[in-house]
Amino acid sequence: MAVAAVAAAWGQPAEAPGSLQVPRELVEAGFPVQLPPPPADLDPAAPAAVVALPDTEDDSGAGVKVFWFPPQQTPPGMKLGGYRLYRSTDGGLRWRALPQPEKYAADAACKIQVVGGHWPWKAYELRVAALYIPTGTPEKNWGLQDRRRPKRVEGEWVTAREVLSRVAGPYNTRPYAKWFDGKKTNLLVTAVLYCVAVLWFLRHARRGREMYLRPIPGIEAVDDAIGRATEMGKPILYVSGLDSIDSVSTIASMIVLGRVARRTAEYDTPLLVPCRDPLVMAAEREIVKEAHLAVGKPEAFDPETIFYVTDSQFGYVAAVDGMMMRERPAANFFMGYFYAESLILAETGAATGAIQIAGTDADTQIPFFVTACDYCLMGEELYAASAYLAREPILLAQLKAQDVGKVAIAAAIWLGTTAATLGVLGTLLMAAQKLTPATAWGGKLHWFSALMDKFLALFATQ
Amino acid sequence: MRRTLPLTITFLAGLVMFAQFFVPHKLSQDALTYMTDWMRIIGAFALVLGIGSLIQRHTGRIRQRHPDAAFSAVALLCFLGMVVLGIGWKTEEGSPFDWGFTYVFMPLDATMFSVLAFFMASAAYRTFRARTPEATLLLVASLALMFGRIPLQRALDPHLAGVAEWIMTWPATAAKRGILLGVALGSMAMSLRLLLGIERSHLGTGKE
Amino acid sequence: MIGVNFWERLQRLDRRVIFILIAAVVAIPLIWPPRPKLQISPPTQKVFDYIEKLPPGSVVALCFDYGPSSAPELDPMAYAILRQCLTKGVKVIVMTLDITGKQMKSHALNRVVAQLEQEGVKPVAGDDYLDLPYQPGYTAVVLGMGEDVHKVFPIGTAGGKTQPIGTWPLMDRVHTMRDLSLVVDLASSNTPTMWVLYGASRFGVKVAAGVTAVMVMDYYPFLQSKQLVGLLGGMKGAAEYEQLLKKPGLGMSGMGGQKWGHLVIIAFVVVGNIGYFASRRAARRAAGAAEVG
Repeated sequence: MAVAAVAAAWGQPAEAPGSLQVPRELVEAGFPVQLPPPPADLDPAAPAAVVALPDTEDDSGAGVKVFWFPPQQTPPGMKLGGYRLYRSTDGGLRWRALPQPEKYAADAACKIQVVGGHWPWKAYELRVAALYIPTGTPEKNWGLQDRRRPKRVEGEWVTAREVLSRVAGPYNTRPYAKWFDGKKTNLLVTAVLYCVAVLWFLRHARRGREMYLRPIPGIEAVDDAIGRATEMGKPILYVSGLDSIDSVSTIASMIVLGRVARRTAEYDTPLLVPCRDPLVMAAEREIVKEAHLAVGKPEAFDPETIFYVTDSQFGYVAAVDGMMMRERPAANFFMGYFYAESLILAETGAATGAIQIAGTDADTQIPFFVTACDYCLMGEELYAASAYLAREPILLAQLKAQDVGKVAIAAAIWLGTTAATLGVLGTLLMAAQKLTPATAWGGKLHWFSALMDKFLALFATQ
Repeated sequence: MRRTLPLTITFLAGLVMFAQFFVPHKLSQDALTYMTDWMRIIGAFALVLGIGSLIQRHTGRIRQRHPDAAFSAVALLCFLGMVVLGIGWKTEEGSPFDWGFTYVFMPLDATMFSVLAFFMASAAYRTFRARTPEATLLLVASLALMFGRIPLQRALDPHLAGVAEWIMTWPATAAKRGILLGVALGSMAMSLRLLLGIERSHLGTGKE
Repeated sequence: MIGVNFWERLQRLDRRVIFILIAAVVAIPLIWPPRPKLQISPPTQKVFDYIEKLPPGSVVALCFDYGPSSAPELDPMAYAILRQCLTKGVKVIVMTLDITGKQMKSHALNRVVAQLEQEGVKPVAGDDYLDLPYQPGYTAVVLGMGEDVHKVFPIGTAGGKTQPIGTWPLMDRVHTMRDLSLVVDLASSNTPTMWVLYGASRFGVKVAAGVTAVMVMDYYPFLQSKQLVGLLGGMKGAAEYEQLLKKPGLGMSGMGGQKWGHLVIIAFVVVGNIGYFASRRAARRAAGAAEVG
C-alpha cells in the first residue's frame, strides 16, 4: 500500500521491481514512508530528497550516510552517468567535491553513500549532483575531471553536465564519535591485569626475594663463546637480525649486544657488527661505545667495527658470509629476527668452525638455527636473555610475570575449549534427540549452549 | 637530561599509542596516521646515515690498502653507478638502471636465495637421525610432509597430500601458536620494560 | 657385503657431493620440464574460487612485496593471478610496499599484458589495470589507503604513460581501501600480517596472501581464523594455481626440479638413517665382543 502511494507521488509504475522502497534507516529516522512531492522549483534533472544521517557503524564518528532518490527527468540528448557528492563546511559558501565510488546500495530507487572524514564538532552541508553524459558515449570514456571539461567524441566536442540537488536535510549532519571501542574491553582488561602482575612481582623483587630461573644453555654459553674467541685471538661476529629498530626482537638483540660488548671490551676481543638498518647501526654504535666507557677503555672503541652493509636481504647475507669466510670469527652470535637467510648464515658459520649462539623469535627459522648452531634461544628466551645476563631482580620479576601470563592464557584456552566442546555437544544432543527449546530438556540444553556461547564471546575481539 | 628526555618521550609516546588502540574517535585515527607519517620521514633520514657509513667504510679500506680493498672498490663502483644511472636515465622499464636491476641484481639475489636449497639438503642429511623417539617422530612427520608437497604423491598415494595438509593445519599450527603466545607475552613484557624505563641499555646509557 | 666402514663414511659424506647431486636433479628437469597433475591444496583453491566469483568490474589490488630473490616462487603466482583477473574483467591495481618490488610489479604487469594482447585479450591501460608507484612507509601506506588512496598515490602509470591518479578511469572506482574487492599480497617478508592487521581488521577489506614456501606456516593461523581468504605457498602453490587456470607456466616448470630435489633429500635422509643404525649396531657388537674378551 505504501509503495503504491509513493509510486503514485512520483508518477512511476508501482510494479517497477525494487523501486521506491525507503530504506529502513530513513524510516527509523522519521522519514515518511510515502515520499513527499518534489518542490515545484526543483530542477527535475536534479537528485531529490537528499538526506544525510550519521553512520552508526563507524565508531570514529567520521562517517555520514547520504541518501537520495533519482531525478525525475533526464535532459534531452543526455543520459545519467552517475552522481557526485559535494560538501561545504562554511555554510554553503564553498563546495568541495568528495570521492565518488560507483557502488551503490542494490535498491534501484534510493542511493546510499558513506562519506568519511567528518570532524565531530563541525557541521557539514552536503549536496548531490546528477552527472549527465551525451547519449551514445561509453561511460568508461569519462574520467572524473572529464566530467567538467569538454571532450572530443567522434569528432565533436561534447560536455558532461552536473545538476545539483538541494542541500541535504532536514536531519542533523553532525556525526557522533565514540571515545572507547567496547569490543576491545577484554583486551584492555587483559593488558591491565598483566601490568598489575608485572608490578606485583616488581614489588616482590625489590624486597630481595630469591627467584628461581630454569637454566638456558644458550645464555650460559655466551661467556664461554667470548672466552674462546679471546683465547684464539679471533674476532666475534654479532648479527642483530634483519628487522628494523622498531622491532622488539631487534631491541632485545641490542640489549644482549650491550652485555657482549662489555665483555669483549674487557678482554680486548675484536667485535664485528654488520648492520642491515642504519638506525640500528647508529644505536648499536652508541651501545658498544658505552660498553667501552663502562670498562674504562674508551680509546679501544673503533666505530668502524659497527657498520652498515646494505638494505638488501641477500646482499647482506652475502656480505656477512664473505666476512665469515675471510675473517674466520671464533664465535658467531645471531640474535634478532631472521627470514629465509638464517640457514645460509648458520651453515656458513658452521663451516668455518665457529661456536654459534642464535636467538630468534622467528619461529619458522628456529629449526634451522637448532640444526646448524651450537645453542639456540627460542622465541621469548631471546627477550629473557637480557634478564638472565644481568640477573637484576627487577628484570627477573618481569620473567615471573610472563610465566603467570602464560599460565593464565593456558587456563583460558582450556576453559574456552571446554566451553566450546560442551556447547557443541549440547547442540548435537538436542539434534540427536530431536528436542526443541520449548521442551523441558531441550530448553535446558539450549540455555546451556547459549551460556557457553556467551562465555566464549568474552574472549572475542571482533 | 640525556637519559631522562628519551625515557620520558618513550613513556609518553607509548602511553598515547596504547590509548590510541582503544579509542576509535577520528582524533585518535588521525594521530596514528600522523605518527606513521613521521616514521616514514625518520626512515628516509636514516638512509642518509647508512649511505654515509657505507661510503666511509669502503673508502677507508681503499685508502688503507686493506687486503680486501678490491671488494670495497667494486662495492663503491656498483653503488655509485646505479645511483648515476637511476638519476640520469630514470628507473622505468628499458632504462639502464632497469637493465642493471634485471640482469645483474636479480640473478645475484636469486642465486643467494638458491644457496639455501643446498644448505637445506646438507642440513637435513646431517640432522634427520632417529636418535630418540622425539627425533623419530620429527623424521616421520618431515618425510610425510615432503612426500605430500611433491607431485609424485598421486602415483604413490593420493592421501599423502591430505596427511601433509593435516600436519600443516593442526599439529604444526598448534605448536606455532604456542611459540607465538610466548613471543607475544615476551614482547609485551619487553615493551613494558622499555616504556617504564626499566630497560635502558638500548639507549646506550644503561647501568650494568 | 657392505661393511660398517661404508656406512660410517656415508654419514660423514662431504657435503659437496650432496650439493652436486641437488644441482643436477634440479637443473636437468628445467631442460625437459614435466607437466605433472597436482593435487590442489584447499588454501590455493580458496584464492582461486574467490577471484573466480568476483563480478566483472571488481577491483583487486596485487601487492608485490618481494624482491628478485623470491621471484622464482612468487612471480609465477603474480602472472597467474594477473592473467585470471584480466581475462575475466576484474580490474587490477599493482602496487608495492617494498622498494625492490617496484621493478617486479612493472615487469610482471607488462609481461602479462603483452601476453594477453597476443592472445587477443586487450586490457585497457588505466581502466583495466594500473600501476601505482612505490611509497615508503609500510604501515603508513596501508593506513593511508584506508582513508584516501588518491592521497597516498598521487600518480599512476599505465600503457607507458604516467598521469595524476584522478585522471585514470580505474581510480574513479577506488577511493579508499574499502572499494577494493580483494588485496592479494605476494610477499617474502611479513607484510601480509600488516595487511591483515590494518587492512582486514580495521577497514574490512578481504586479504589473500602468496608467500614463499618457508613462510607458509606463519600464515596458517590467519587462514584458520578466516582473516585470510586463502594462501598460496611457494612454487607449488603457483603451480597449483596455474593448473586451476589451465595455463601452465613457470610454476609448473619448476615442479620437476622440486620433485627430484625432494626425492634426493629423502633418499639421503633414509640412507643416512640406515647408516646410523648400522653403525650403532656394529658399535654394540664391538662393545659386546670386548666385554666377552
